[in-house]
Amino acid sequence: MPKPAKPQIASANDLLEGHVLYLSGDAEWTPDRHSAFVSTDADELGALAEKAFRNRQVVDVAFIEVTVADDGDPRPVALREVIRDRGPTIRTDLGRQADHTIHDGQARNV
Amino acid sequence: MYSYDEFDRDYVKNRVAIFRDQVARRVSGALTEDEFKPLRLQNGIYLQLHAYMLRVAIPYGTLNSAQMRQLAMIAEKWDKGYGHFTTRQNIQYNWPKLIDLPDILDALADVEMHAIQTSGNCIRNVTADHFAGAAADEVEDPRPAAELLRQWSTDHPEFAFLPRKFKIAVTGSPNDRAVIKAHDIGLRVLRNDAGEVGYQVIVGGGLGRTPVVGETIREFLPKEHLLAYCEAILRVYNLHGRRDNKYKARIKILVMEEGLESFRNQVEAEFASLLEVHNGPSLIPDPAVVKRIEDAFAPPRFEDLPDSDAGYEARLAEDEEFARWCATNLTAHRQPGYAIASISLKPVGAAPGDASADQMRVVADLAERYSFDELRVSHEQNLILPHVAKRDLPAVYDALREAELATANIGLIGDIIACPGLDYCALATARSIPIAQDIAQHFSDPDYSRLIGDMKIKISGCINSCGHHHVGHIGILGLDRAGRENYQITIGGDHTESLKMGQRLGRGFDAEEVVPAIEQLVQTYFSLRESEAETFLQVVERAGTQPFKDALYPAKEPADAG
Repeated sequence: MPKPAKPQIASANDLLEGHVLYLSGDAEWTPDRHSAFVSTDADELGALAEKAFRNRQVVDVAFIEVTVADDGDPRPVALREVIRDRGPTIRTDLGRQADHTIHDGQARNV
Repeated sequence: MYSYDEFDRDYVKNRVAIFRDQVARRVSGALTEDEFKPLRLQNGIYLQLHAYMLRVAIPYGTLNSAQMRQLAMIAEKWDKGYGHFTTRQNIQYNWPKLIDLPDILDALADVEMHAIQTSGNCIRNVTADHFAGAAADEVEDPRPAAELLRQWSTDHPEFAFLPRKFKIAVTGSPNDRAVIKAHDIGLRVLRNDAGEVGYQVIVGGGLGRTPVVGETIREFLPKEHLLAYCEAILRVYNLHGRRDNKYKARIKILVMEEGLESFRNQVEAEFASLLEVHNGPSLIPDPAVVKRIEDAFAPPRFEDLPDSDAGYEARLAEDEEFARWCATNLTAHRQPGYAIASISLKPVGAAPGDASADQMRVVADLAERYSFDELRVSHEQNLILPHVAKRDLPAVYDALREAELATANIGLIGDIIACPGLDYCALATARSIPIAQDIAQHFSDPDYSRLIGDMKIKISGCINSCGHHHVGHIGILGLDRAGRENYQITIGGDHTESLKMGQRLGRGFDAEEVVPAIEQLVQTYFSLRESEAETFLQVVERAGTQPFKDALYPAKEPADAG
């Protein structure tokens, strides 16, 4: 029996500034990981990402595996994506973890 | 120091203008990302985990105070207030925005710097001995050769799309501080029996996933033939290097597959052809050009000083910390009364190679005031004041101490090379910097680290080996094992003229197990060494790796049958 597909979200970097973005359910690229659209269907995520290209220029789109917390927060599984989401572990004053404009300190909450 | 001529200036400024237009076309949508990516890479711009990264070339690791101040200004104005000095003597900024990069490149061009050929399958920034022009053991300053190679290789139309990147290093001393045997081409300046100066040419060395010690392809190459011979090597490589598999595409693989003799024969035939048939004399540099370059690297006007200085000696006698710093961070200078001062970018708790904008300015001021306006970046991720009069050492030390730059650990266990690793790098499989910090913290007692003595720990966060782990006395390679960071340990590597690759001891360790493992290796070394003068590397060479394996992986107790 095939394994059930794992939940994923789409992520990318902003073309102009380079920072990390996530794809929301209304086809917007947003720094807010909490509002990232979670799907087990790569085709569905791909179609949404295609639609979102019209709204914002991004680069290096990738689908990343997440677990979904009880409050619905999709949390990256791989250490690489955790660090990408937060910022350097050796400089907590840098990256998303230091950006208080990002949804309620979520970058620290993975 | 070499200063741009009109051609250099126009070329670099023009490249910035071209890139500015390319960025504008990318933003407007006229260029796709697939079209734009190779263009930004040709200007040293990568996309890493958190942001873009700009790698700025510091040719042969030499820069002046104005350039260092400009690097500080860029760090503050367009980045996050710091820069990272790399194992290729470059500096990287980790947070620039694409829209700012044309302005940053313009600011670099203003001080005769650029980021061209710091990425891509081309000839990269040429590196050199960081003590060039100052070292007591030097046959000749290697930087004129490096500068000649820089001019030849910059925008060389035939070598813009090689099978893979290509790295050249030059040393002017028999004691190799430029790791030349781990380069695609390594050059050593030497004097032959007739007293003529030329180059020993080494080819096919490299680290990465296939570590290879380079082999000598020419025992002695006359100086005037440097470019023609390098051109011949590059031509053979460009024609026959593999392009079907990027992991087999470096020249070391070609040399291994063809065999050195066959490769040498092809190079020599191409070299002869270049000299005799294809207008080869154009590859013999105009003596006037060579002279201009050599003049640019003429020694500074040293004062005629006695070798010792009373004030310096008095401070040595009365200040233990100053004496400790002098013992580790100074190197003999060729000029009496002067010393080479290394500035450690490895204070306990810091990321190896990182310097704040303020620290860069302090170092720039010291270079201007005390070191004939010269600075060096070492491949070991430290900075160098190459020409400091001994009488000025107390003042230099005090200023460094004030800026938290007076760590006395050069060549000791805390002087660790570490790549950016998974904290920044998109290629990394594990973090490097926290491992380096944990080791430095554990061995932070200066008396203990002096007791251990000469020790090079080098850490890479992936198999690409930017942290030179293969040639560390202790090498640490971070990998991903089923989603967990795992660190393989090698010992016995040697980065000098007797270059050797370290040998892996056994299974890898979890991150929290690495420091205890290093401590175990140190204790084993203590138990084996025959005197305090016998270094860790010498013990490994004498006793082999088995005692260290036995210490790290003790045999399991037999199960109790009762």
